[in-house]
Amino acid sequence: MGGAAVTGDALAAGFEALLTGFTVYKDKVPSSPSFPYVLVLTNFPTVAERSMARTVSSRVLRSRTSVVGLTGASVRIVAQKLTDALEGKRPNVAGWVLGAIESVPNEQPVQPDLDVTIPGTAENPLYQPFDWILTGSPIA
Amino acid sequence: MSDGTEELRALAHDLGDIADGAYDDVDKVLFKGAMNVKNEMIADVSKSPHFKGMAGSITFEHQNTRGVIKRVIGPDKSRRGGSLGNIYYFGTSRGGGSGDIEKPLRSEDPRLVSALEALTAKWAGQL
Repeated sequence: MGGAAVTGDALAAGFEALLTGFTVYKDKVPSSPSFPYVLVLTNFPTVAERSMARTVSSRVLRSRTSVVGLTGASVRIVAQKLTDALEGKRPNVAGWVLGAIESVPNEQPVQPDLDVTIPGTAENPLYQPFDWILTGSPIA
Repeated sequence: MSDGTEELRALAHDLGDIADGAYDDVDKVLFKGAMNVKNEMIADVSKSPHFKGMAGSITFEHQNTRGVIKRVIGPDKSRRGGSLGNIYYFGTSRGGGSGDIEKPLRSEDPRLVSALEALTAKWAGQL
């Protein structure tokens, strides 16, 4: 897949389309976000495997989703919805044969973001990042 | 004419010798691999204008137990700058996380596999 920019973007869009049922911000968070929310950042799928002839046989899409809420319970509830939406799912994206989405353990706890103050309060939001991978092969 | 008992006993003896040294052999390989990962993590963060101050906090510790050889590598929060590690690698509630925590592992993976394969070849030669 030499000029694969379009299909790579389609793969990222197919992944992000699974994120429903909660507030999602893609790429960046507005100055006054609605809590709780999920910030999603998805890369261009990088080469994971090559054939003997050195052509690309599979690519891996990596995504980080940060679940942000006003309380730890809020973060956990949205994290459950996020997990239900992604773990083991196979998005249907034209031009790709896809594996199942898998979470990547990152050992990160729910933690306060001390650099952000919730408007009208002296409180900090809480957040937990979750990392995901999706491996796929472009259809020749 | 042998019934194979002596050969079997000799093989068991050789396997026992290999097993005695295997733990230390693998531990040495893992130690070197952990050093490489640590050094690449330090080199990567040293290029960041905002996070280079945490470079000195990256270290690794042995977490070996009986039958398990394990190294844990990363920023140590008790060291200067170590508390920035979460933000550098995983970002905040508003994004960020420019550090790639898996890149040093991807770099080390083929070297580690190669070293472990060399070890198994060495053990096979001792039989």
